[in-house]
Amino acid sequence: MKAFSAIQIGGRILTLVLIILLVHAPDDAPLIIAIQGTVSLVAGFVSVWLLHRDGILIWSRPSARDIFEEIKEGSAIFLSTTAIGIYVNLTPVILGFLAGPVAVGQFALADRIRQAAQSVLQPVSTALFPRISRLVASDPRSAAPLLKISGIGLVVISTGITGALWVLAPQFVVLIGGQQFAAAAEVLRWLAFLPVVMSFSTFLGLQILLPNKRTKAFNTILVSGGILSLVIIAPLIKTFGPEGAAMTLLIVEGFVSLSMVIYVLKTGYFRGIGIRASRPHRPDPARRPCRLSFSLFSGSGAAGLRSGRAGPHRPVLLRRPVRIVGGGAAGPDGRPDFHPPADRGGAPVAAHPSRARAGGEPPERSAARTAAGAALHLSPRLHRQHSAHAASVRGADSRRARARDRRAMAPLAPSTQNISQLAYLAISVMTTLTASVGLRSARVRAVVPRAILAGCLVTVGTGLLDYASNFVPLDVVLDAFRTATLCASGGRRGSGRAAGRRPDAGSVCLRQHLRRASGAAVFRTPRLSGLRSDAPSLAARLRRLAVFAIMSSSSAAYVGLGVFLASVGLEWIWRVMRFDQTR
Amino acid sequence: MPGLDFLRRKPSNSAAEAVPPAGGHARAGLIGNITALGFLQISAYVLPLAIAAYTTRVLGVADWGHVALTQMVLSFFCLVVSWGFSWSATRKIAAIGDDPHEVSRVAIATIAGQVILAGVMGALLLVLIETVPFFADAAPFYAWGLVSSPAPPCSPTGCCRGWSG
Repeated sequence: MKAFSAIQIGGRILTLVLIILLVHAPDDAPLIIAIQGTVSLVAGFVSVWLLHRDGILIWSRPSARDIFEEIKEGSAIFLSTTAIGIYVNLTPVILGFLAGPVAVGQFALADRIRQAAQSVLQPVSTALFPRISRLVASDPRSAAPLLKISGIGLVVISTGITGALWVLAPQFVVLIGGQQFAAAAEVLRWLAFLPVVMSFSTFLGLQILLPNKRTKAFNTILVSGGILSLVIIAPLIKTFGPEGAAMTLLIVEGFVSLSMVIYVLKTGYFRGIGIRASRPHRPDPARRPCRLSFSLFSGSGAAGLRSGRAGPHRPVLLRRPVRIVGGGAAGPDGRPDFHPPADRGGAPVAAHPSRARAGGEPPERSAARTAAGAALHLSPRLHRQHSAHAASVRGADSRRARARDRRAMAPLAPSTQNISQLAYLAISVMTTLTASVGLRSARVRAVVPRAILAGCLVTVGTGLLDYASNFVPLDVVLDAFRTATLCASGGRRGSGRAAGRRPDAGSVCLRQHLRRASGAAVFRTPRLSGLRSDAPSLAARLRRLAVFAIMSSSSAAYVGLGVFLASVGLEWIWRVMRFDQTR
Repeated sequence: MPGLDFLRRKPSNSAAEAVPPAGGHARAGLIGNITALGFLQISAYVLPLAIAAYTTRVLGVADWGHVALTQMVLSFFCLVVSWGFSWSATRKIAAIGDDPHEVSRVAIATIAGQVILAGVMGALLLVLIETVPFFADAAPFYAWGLVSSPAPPCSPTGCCRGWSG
């Protein structure tokens, strides 16, 4: 293996030397193909000759039957390699047809950088594949420790690679391709997610499915990925150019990895060879959906980081500006916005009509609105002589406007505000996940409401403290904790963010919801106790939770609710799969 | 060039030795394989990056895109020539274990199969260059592809992996 590696490496070095010596102008471009092909051919011949010379490859005339048998055995895997080839190699070819060689150049450069980074992972699986094949054939249980180590190692290393590629994409692209390839940085940022996504398919496909001769399932998944690629590739490339090609790869690889995860879990392979969770005496199927939900959240957060900070204020995660806004006023379309007095021209604060309705509201909604309003009143900015006015916040309605949005976008910088927004989202999601797991046990149910109550008290306390800063010189201390600037710099729409207020409202709403849902004594307060009734049904609880989240107009609440529902859905799927398996 | 004696397996005395040896020796062999493959893989991608760093500056975006497009199209031909041998032959040779004649029989049959496929794909590429405008327009690129497509059969990666497994 070492000698073979030496031949291959020597061949590649020779290729580099010959290209530098012979290629000097665009007209010499075909020579690159010629040099690469010739050197590969010569290196291959030398390898075979050495193997023969040292008696490792003992020459014998191959029979037609032997050749046919090998081709037949290889054909099963050829199908899957072809499927991989379709969505890996066909992507730049179609890109070339639809968008031209410049787009191919940008994509190819970004992809080569990604592959170079990802090559760190390849030897682990390649070297383990033969050994695991043997172990699976002789003693499947003895393969378990090796599988566990390689699986964890692949995911951890690939996560690091993904992070490095995403952060350093502009530097990598300019280093390898020069300034003329700077636009390829965006392509590389999309491709940066591939290592971590592909680590799952590499691990499950090459180290579990193939050694266990699950070739049919392996092929089916990859062929499905190839078909998916053919379906989505043209529209994505036409819309997004080289970035669309990268999106195609990411979507298809994500599909392949997810399919393999579901398949392997459904077969119960890990339980069969003795790989269990760290606490085998207390199997908890809900843990896996929570991990998946957490992965979902992490992925969404990473995608959100890619969104721009300029352009119309449309709170959509992917490829459009993310705007997390707050406050007690809203425009005609229901989306709130804030501007400093200089920018609003003295316009008064106006509430959204749906909130301004006083009569006819159910008491719960009215109470929640009151609670949310109280929380908002205690929020940091309103009592610092900054008031708000209603502003229509609309997204890009036309294709032209969307194209302008894309041009105007820039990656979010790691500023204090952005980090704090991410922290808010993380808090919301982690709270939801913790509640969904923790509240399953009666013992924890008795403790968690008190913790939430403590959180609510801290929220109200900090709000009062902030309010007091209007009268007492506390700003010196409090400013360090104020991350929201609310258009303080320049007062232009979109230049600032309002943070730290909606989560306050959300926490009050959550408190009321939990009080309603659990009837826990710790939530009873004189003001709200009159609203308590018999325990509502699950559907009613979910409905109320959704209503409160929507009323809070909190991006964090939306994400939290979405992750919660995704957790529920995944848990149901998980239970159904377990039920099918145990039947 | 170092010798290849280390690739030879010691003759087996019992069926029990078919199971991979446990302990430090096996672990050292595995780490050695990973290291060798690691250098191979890194060179497989780092050296092309070095080539890319040079050629992008010499050719410019559009011409470099042409080269990349040609390489991608040729990779389809190489894909067919490689067939699925890299995994199927690896698996088979690893399972055979210590019978050098049987291993050689499989390896030679695999290489012969790839040579046949390379001939077929080479002929197909020639026909495409003559008849299809997409290939004819870039004939100087694709003509050299006739050299690239037989390369996979002469790169017995899968066999070597199987031997060292």
